[in-house]
Order: sequence, then C-alpha cells, then structure tokens
Amino acid sequence: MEEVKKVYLKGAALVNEDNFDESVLNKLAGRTVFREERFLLAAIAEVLEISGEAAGFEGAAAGNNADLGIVLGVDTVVDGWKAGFFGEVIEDGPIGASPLAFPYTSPNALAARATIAFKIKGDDITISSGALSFLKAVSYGALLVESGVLEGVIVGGVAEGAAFTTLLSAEPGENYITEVFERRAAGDGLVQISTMAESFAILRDALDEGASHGGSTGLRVSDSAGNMIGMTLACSIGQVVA
Amino acid sequence: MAGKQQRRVVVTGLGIITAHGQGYAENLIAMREGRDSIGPVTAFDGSAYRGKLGGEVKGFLLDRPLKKLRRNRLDRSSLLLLAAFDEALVMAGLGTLDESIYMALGTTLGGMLSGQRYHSMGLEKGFDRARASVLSDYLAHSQGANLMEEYGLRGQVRTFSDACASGTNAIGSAFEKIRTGAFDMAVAGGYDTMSEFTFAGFNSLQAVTPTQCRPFDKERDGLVLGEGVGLLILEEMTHARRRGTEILGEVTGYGASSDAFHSTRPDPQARGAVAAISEAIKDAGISPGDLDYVNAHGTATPFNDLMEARAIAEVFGESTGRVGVPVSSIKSMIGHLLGASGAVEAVVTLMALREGFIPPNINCQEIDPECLLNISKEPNRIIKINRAISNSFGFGGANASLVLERAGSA
Repeated sequence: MEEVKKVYLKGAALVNEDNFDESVLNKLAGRTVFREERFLLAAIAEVLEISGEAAGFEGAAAGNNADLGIVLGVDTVVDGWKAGFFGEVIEDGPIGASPLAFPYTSPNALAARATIAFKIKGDDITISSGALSFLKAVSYGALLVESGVLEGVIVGGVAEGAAFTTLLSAEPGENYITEVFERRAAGDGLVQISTMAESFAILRDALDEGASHGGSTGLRVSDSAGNMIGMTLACSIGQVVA
Repeated sequence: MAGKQQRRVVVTGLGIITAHGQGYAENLIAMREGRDSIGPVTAFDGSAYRGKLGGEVKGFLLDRPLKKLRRNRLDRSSLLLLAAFDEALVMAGLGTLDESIYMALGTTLGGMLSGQRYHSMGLEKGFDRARASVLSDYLAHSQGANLMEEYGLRGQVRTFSDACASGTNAIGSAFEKIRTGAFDMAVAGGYDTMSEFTFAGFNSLQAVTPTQCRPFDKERDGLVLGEGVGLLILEEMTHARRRGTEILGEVTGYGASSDAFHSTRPDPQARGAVAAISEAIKDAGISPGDLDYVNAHGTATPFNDLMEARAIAEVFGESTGRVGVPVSSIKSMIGHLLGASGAVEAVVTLMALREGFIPPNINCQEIDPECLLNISKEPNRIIKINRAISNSFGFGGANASLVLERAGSA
C-alpha cells in the first residue's frame, strides 16, 4: 500500500476589476463572453506563472496538461446570465431562447472554458455549495492529488466580480496542506463567511503572513520545514449566508 | 490508482424516481420490459417548441409528514430527493444514519422551478413585489442541506454541478472518500426536475427531438429531457457486513476527464471519453474484456452517440478486436435527466447486475452503421452479468465513468 501523497499549495491569485490585465487573454484561444470568465482565465494564468508552471501554461497549446485537473467553486455567478436567458423566454416564447446564451447558464460553463483555454484534460469538476464552494473545491482538489489521481489541480472560486485560484500539486513546494477538515457543527473561534472571496482572502493572508483563524471548515497549512504556518479557514454550513 | 488504501466500496441502499415511476420495484419492471415512458410535456405549455416531449415523473408521492422542514417552502427537487432517500434508507435496513457521513449530490438545476417562479413573479409584478421566500430552496446546495436537516445527519455535503456528468462525479467522489478511509458511509446521487428553462435552452440548441428518442439509430435526431432522482447508499464492505445488511452491488472503478474542446459539442475524436472510460476500467483493476454490459450515455443526438460509439469501439476494440459487449441507453425510455442522469443510470445498472437483465435500448430501428456497437434492443433480455460500466458525458466536455459489479462476483 503506497503512502498518501502530500498536497503542496503553489501560490494564489486573485483577479478582479482593480488588477485585471486583459493582455494575458491574448495568449489564449477562443473568445470570452463575460467578465468573470475573463477574470478566471487571468487568475489561472497568474497562478501558473507564480507557481513556476509557466511551461505548462505555454505548453497549453500543445495539449500537454493531461495530468492537470480543475475543481472550481461557484456560487450565484451564472445566475444573472440565467435570469437574462429566461427573461427572454418569458417575454418572447421559444424564439427568445438564445442558443449562444444557454450554455453559459450551466454552472460548469466557467470550468469548461478554462479547460479549453489551458487544455486541462484531467478531472473537470464544479462545486456549487454557496459561500463554501471554494473551500469544498480545495478539499476535493486535495483528495485528487493525495490519492494520486492527478499531479496537479487548479482549484478556485468564481464569484460576482472576482475569480481566485491556487494550484495544488504533488510536486514539492513551499507550503503544503496539513489537514482538510469539514464539520457541520460550529466550533469556538468560528469565523463566519458570507462569500467565497472571504475564504480565499483568509487563505491568501495565511500564505503571505501566517495568519491564523479558528473554525470548523477549512484547511491547515505547513511550511516546507513542517512548521504550521497557522491557518484554518472557517465557517459552518448552517451559518453560511450564500 | 497509486497511493490509495484499497478499501472496498459496496452499495447497500438504492432510491429511484423516474418517468417510469417511484421506487425500485416499479422501475425494475419498466426497465426490464422496455416501457416508453416519454410523452408530451405537461409541466408547462410546450406546444410552441420544436420538441414537445418529456420524461416526466407523474403522481409522485412523499406520503409522510416532514419532521423539521416546511413542505410549502420546498422545491420539487427537494421533495423528490427526500422520497428517494426514504427508499434508500429502508433498502439499506437503516432507520436513520447516526454516524458522520459524506453526502455528494449532482444537479445542474438545483431548485430551478423556484427560481423560475420568482422570476415570473418579478416580471409580472415587479421584482420589488416578488416574494423572496420563493427562493429559499433555489440554490443548488439547498436540497442537500434540506436532506441533512430533515434527517438530522452529520458530515460533509458537496454539490456537483458538472452538467450531465454531475451524478456520476458525485458517486465517484463518494467512492473515493470511502476507499481512502475518510468515511465509512456515504449518500451519493443526483436529481433534476423538468423546467421550461432547460426545455427552452435545449430546444434553442436544436438538440431536442421533434419525433422520438432513439439512441444510436441511423435516423436519430435529438434528445428528450426527463426528470427524476437516483440515490445510492455506499459503505465500506466490512462496515456493511458488520451490520448484516444485504450487499446490492459494488463500485470498483471511477474515471473522469475533460475534453478541453468545446463548450457544447463533444470532441469528435472522443479522446476525453476514451480517457474517462479507460481510467475507470484501469481503476477497477480489470480489462475491457471483463465487462459484460455498457450503460451508454446515449443521448440520441447525432454528435454524442457517434462520439461515444467511437470511444467504446476504441477502448473495447483494443482488447477484444471487436465490440461484442452489449450496449444500451435507458434515455430511450425515460429521457435525459441531466444532473440526475448518471445517478439514475448507475442505479439501473446496479439493478441490471442484481436482477440479471440488460435494459433495452428501445426505439432503435436501424443501428447507425457508423456506430459499430452491439446495441441491445430486445426487452426482457434475461442474462447474468457480473460487471458493467456506466458512462456520462456532459456539456463543456466533462466526462465520467463508473465500473459497477454484481454483489459477490469478485
């Protein structure tokens, strides 16, 4: 029986209106349709670069990413699109239904777009769990790496106005996930979150500064020397305002 | 799979609701005899659409008082899920689940009917006057949370929204969670309801048939949407044996991949589908020739069926030199259940393994000569099968396959 693999966290990227650099999209094939889609592609490009995986990024065109998967958390980011599509159907009947808009009403449309742009050919998973979606994406992505299914997984979240990603990898790096945990009951020191972006911010702060939070859902991360850099992400299913 | 503790994952409970009816017994009879349960859609006025057919669940009952939830706040999707869970629990010989469990559910729509109702109200009266309470069961993770709440369950809940691969990925994730030792028990499956939203969408893509759902037929011209739920209770084998419950089947392999090709069209070269099928077979530690039945995704769209036929031919042809394994798509009988399809198809595949039959691929008059498959069309085909694979290929190129085995076959 082989040992469970360690899951390394290789950088984190947040893209929103304030830091979005459109030029990164020029390298990618295909047109983009909506704002959060562009943010997501830029965030993936950035995290691949930060992680020293630029070769993978450049190699996308050659379709070299068979061992790379994606697990994306979404909340209500496609709901505006859904409302627009269905509004047209209500007003105009069948003729109002746009075949161009409909595919974007599917929650996995964003992950699909990322797989096409970066030729990601491993597992392609979208998690819809409200504000907890990002954490659950990290948790599932970690399972894929530690069980040896994939060498690397882009995990991320897309919310209204922002996309955030990190790369989980079996390839050794600076920080690794010590534990992923999820409990339904609230614990002491709970940090209640109302958006996925908040949980990502806690993760990024921890990677940057070793911040610490207590709670009932999240992950703990250690540095390469095995020292806890002191983070857990927190919230409780029952308390999340999605 | 490397680095994994090899714990065996068995199925001890099943819950199913489809256009065939509610429950294992009703579905078994209809699946075996090849009943066509598709008809003109009645949930809304479908007369103006090109395709007017649906596989709707009729006369469904949740005939018990709810303990904690308010029935009038629940979307139809939650009611379907609760009813299927009731059945799965009874089948598993469980009153409730006291231990911490993993719950993985697949859905594309969540509580979309509630969303539609709110939206229609808003357009009619103005959104400031639309009742926000209608949205209480709209979000895709609400239905799983409802199930946990009603039964007082503890553990992790995860909602997969990978289009038509949602249910299969949910089951695959539960399989991994038990196999790797994170949990001893899991509830996994998928659900979706018939909504005008998706009906309009698939019609707009001209993916819906105006005639009849006939997977792999030379003249096939599109899918029919359906609704329903499929649920499995999964357990680590020794855990199930300790309880003394009947083992209904076993999950032995799971594979997933991405086409990385197009947002709606499958890769015509079927590379992603081949990868998912091959990975599931490898994961099960068998070769393609060990499989006795393929439960195809088989939507009856020209593109999907041709792609899937190529994938099956490539995988099975490599080991046997021919594709002799029987293949069928139950979508011909109940329609395409989107996020529920993979889960319902897994339940029916387990049913076929347990009861010894091959579900027929009805309405297929002349097999497409480009689909070099052994399509099993005959009803009441009673035959013992030991191992089967169930495929799901979704929008955006999300592919997933599960290998399932008859109890006691290993």
